[in-house]
Amino acid sequence: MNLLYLIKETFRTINRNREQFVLSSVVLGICLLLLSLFLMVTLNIMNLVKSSSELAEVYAFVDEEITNSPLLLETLEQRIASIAGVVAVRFFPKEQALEELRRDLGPDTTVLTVLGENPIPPSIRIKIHPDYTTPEHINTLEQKLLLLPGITEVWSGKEFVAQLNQALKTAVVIDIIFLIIIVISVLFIVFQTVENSVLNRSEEIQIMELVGASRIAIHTPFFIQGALQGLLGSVLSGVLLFLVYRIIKTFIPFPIFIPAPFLAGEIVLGIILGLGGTFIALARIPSTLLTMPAGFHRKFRTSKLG
Amino acid sequence: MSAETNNTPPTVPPVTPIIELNGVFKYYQGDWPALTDINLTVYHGDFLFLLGATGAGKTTLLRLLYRQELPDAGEIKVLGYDLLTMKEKEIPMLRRKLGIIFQDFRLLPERTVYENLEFVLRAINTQSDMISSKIQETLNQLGMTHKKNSYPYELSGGEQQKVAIARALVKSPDIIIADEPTGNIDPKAAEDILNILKDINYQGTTVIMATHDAELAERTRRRRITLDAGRVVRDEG
Ligand SMILES: Nc1ncnc2c1ncn2[C@@H]1O[C@H](COP(=O)(O)OP(=O)(O)OP(=O)(O)O)[C@@H](O)[C@H]1O
Ligand SMILES: [Mg+2]
Repeated sequence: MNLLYLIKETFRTINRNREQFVLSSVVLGICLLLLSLFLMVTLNIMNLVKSSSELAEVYAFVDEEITNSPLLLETLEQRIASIAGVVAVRFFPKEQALEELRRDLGPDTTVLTVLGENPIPPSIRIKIHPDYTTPEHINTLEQKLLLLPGITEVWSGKEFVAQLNQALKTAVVIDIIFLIIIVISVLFIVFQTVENSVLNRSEEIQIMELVGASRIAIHTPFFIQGALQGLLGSVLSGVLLFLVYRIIKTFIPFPIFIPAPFLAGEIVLGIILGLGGTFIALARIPSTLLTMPAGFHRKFRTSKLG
Repeated sequence: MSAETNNTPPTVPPVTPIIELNGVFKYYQGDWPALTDINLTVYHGDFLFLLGATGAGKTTLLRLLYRQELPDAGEIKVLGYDLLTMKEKEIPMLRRKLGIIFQDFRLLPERTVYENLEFVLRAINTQSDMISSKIQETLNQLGMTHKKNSYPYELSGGEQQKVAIARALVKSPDIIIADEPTGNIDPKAAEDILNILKDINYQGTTVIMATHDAELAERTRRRRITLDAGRVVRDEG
């Protein structure tokens, strides 16, 4: 059928049922917004995990005595550098560490005055290759370091990274559950809208069937309507997501982001769900082309052909 | 006719069976038959009245012809389609060749006369550039051009039925199936409608018309099939 005419017919159908169409499109948009908020949180945790793993550095605190012997220190550094996964090592004398602490604490140096003597031991800072930042690798590395003479203590961010990883896993599980719920809800919303449109159009559908319209010709306007609803909902949720993003950004110090493909994906998802909901609705309503089986849709019985 | 052809026998019009029913039975609920052992052949170009009291089975018989119902026994062939074995996908193809008219018109109330006809042509994928001329031509034939932009509620019953006929006619069907097309309109308008159907038949379209009005049918002097309680009791004219 002529595309322009089909679109005209689609809008005619929507117009007859416009309150429900608009309202359910808004609900659909909110559903998709919730989904994208969850996904956004996940993405940002993922990003955080990635960047904190990239920065992974292990601190090996060393005996003060060893720092007095450049030869011993150098040997120790070399032995550390030869451990698998170590990219770089750098000695950090205690004065420098104090400087760093002072800088981190800012103008309030009361703590330092109270402490009096410099409390921070000298350390060797070890940069890890990104492939070796998994908890298992870090553990092995820690054990190896502790076996070396002169190393008193080892500190890595592995607890933090492990926690982040745990959070990520939880987030992904929640996302999947949420995705299922939202997908079902959205399908249901579209399904209901299309079903009502079909009922509103039953007179037209009967005429179409009588004059010999193909099934495709009868179904296409409803598919256009479903796709349009999905598109509308997803664009709405995209706009709302952007607003939420702008608001959150002013409250949260670390950077958050929404990748553009994410928005595109959401629109595609919206359209697919719109088509899916339409498909279910049309499959559930048997065509009068079939010779009206016993379980014929009750709503259709009343308007059955004479 | 010219003198030369006087010696040769007149050319017999092609008498192809266009509808054939053989031993057709139809039951609705239970075992009370709506149609019993119907055997009927309709030829190309026929004008056929289907008579009978209310509940005799006229509508049921017509519904079988456009594959709205299936018989419980027997054979039905329409325009070369075997209605019992045809695929569901072929039903639209059959129906495109039929023009169906009802007692209650069944026009789409939110659309003008023109739009009602356009709706049908669009539904069967008529080329866009043909639509306007086909509608124009059909409305012209029925003398309804001046009502082109009217809505059904703005028309009289007779006019509405003319639009319904136009809607059936606009796709150039091989058979017109009319179920009591004059049932809801006054006698004068009924006469009008009947004349239109005769006209259509004269131009080569087969017409089957169910009616209560035996007198009207008799006056028209065409083939008349009478049903009584689901059986063909008379086939005359
Ligand atoms: N959908 C149906 N379900 C059950 N019984 C039906 C159905 N349609 C028709 N019948 C029955 O089948 C018989 C024939 O009905 P049909 O409508 O064919 O008669 P008709 O000759 O068209 O009558 P009328 O002149 O009143 O239109 C009747 O007894 C009717 O009650
Ligand atoms: Mg009837």
